[in-house]
Amino acid sequence: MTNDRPLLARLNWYWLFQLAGWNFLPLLMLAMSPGADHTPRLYAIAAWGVVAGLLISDVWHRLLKRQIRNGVRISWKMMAVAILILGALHAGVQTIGYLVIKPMGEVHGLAWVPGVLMFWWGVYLVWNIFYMAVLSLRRANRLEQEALRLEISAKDAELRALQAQVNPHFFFNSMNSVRALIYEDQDSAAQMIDQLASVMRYALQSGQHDTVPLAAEIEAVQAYLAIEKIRFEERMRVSVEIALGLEQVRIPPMALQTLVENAVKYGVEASPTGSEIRIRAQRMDDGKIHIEIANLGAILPFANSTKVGLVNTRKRLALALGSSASLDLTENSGWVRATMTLPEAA
Amino acid sequence: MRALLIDDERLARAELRRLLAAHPEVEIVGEAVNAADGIQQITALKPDLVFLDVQMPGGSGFDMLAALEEAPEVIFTTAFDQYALQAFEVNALDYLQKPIQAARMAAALQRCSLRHSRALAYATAGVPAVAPTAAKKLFIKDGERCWFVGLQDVRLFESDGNYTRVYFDDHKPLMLRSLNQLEERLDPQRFFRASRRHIVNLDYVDHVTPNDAGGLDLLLRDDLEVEVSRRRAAQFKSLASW
Repeated sequence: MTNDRPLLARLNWYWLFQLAGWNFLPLLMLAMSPGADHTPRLYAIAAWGVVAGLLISDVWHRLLKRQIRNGVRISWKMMAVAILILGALHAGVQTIGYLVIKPMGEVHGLAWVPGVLMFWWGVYLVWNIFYMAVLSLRRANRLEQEALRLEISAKDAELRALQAQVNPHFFFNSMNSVRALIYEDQDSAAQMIDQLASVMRYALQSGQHDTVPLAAEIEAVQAYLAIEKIRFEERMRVSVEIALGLEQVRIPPMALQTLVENAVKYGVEASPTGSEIRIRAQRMDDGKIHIEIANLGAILPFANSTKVGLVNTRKRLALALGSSASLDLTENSGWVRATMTLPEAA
Repeated sequence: MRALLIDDERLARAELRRLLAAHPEVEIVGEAVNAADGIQQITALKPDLVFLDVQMPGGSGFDMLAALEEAPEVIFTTAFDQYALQAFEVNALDYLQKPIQAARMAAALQRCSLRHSRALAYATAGVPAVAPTAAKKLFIKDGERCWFVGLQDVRLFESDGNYTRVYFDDHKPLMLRSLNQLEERLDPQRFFRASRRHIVNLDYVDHVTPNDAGGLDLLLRDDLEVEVSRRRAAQFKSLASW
């Protein structure tokens, strides 16, 4: 898996920065003292410092890593103490180096101690600031990626949930009707089973596509209405008018079906006298496409399920076709109309 | 048992008829296609048993039952209404899921006839003259929750405005019925109008003590206390063989 990652990601940035940083320090010092004698001893003490720095800071890096992995929060106080210890430790090691290598001859007195200590504390302060900066940058990146991934999977799950809407009430009622029909009219029963199969298959497969041609959806809706017609008999009338040339208009799958189911539920199922279900699709003068589903009745103020259905369908329209697609529910002279408006290009 | 079928779909009713053909003890006396029709037919035909679709045009089966003076035995039929059925307390609720299986139908009928004969026995106990159709049961719908209550389980009816609070088991739901309406339908041998506010089931009276106002205090089982007004105290004494 590591081999698939780009070169930049495969490089060990920690060691690159470590080597660069610790070598930069003596080079800078050498460069800043052009007048001094660049003796081998001076190079040796510089190398001593580089190796000591790499070792000390790497031990600290490992300690920090373990702390972070164990979920310990790194506090400012802890950092300050660590910097003091690290700086002092390195100053000590460096002093040993001076005592052994003697790059500037014998070491005299103690007057140099505060300066050296201050210097190494400064070095480790800078090291730790860099280290923490890189760490928090990386963490921020990771969090952002995580958030993005979550958002994508949530959208995915949402879409899937919105599409998986095989209505169990419809399914079992149809089964019941078909059972009765078997004893009454076998041919009709067989036909009803075919239609039920088409509706179920369409509903179950709808999750595979973001949009489908209107003609495909209408076909499923027709099968659905044929079943409901057997259940409700003369209580349900159906009229479907699709303007020519709109067969290939793309809509989210099950969007029309959901609206038609609603129309049947409130117009036919809930009413003793039933209703006509009108489905009409036409291109308006402004080029937008209107798909209208109408039933006799009134918008019920407390019909929660309608609201959920509408909100879901609206969301799916927006997810699949963008914000210019819309869905409106209106009531006018005894008819409830759900109107889907699709953008011209669709 | 005389049964009425209520379902808005003709095929669903046909299916019920076909299933019931295997049960000659059940006589189908009629069919209704919506809630209003159902109320009418139940009032006119007084069936012992009603097969009732939960989801119906023009009001749910529950609303229809709540509008009845007294509830017949009911077997609910439903395609997929788990949520609606959750409204029920467990007591005496029978439902069949469509498509209905013959074995389930047989079991439901058996339970139903058992309940029916028990209720009949209660209603006619010591009153052999009463017609055997007087098996009485109330259907109560309070908000989202529903109960079937046999009258033998009701301890007390308490007036609360236009409503009546019904005490039974651990419940005391409100039903939309005045105490006077209820009194007309209740067996006066068993349910005693203690005051303007209360009708008490005499089977549940534990202690009777005279009070200062010249009436009586009744202590019911489960510690409910009911006062009998002075005017009705004499009636109480003559009724009860205390």
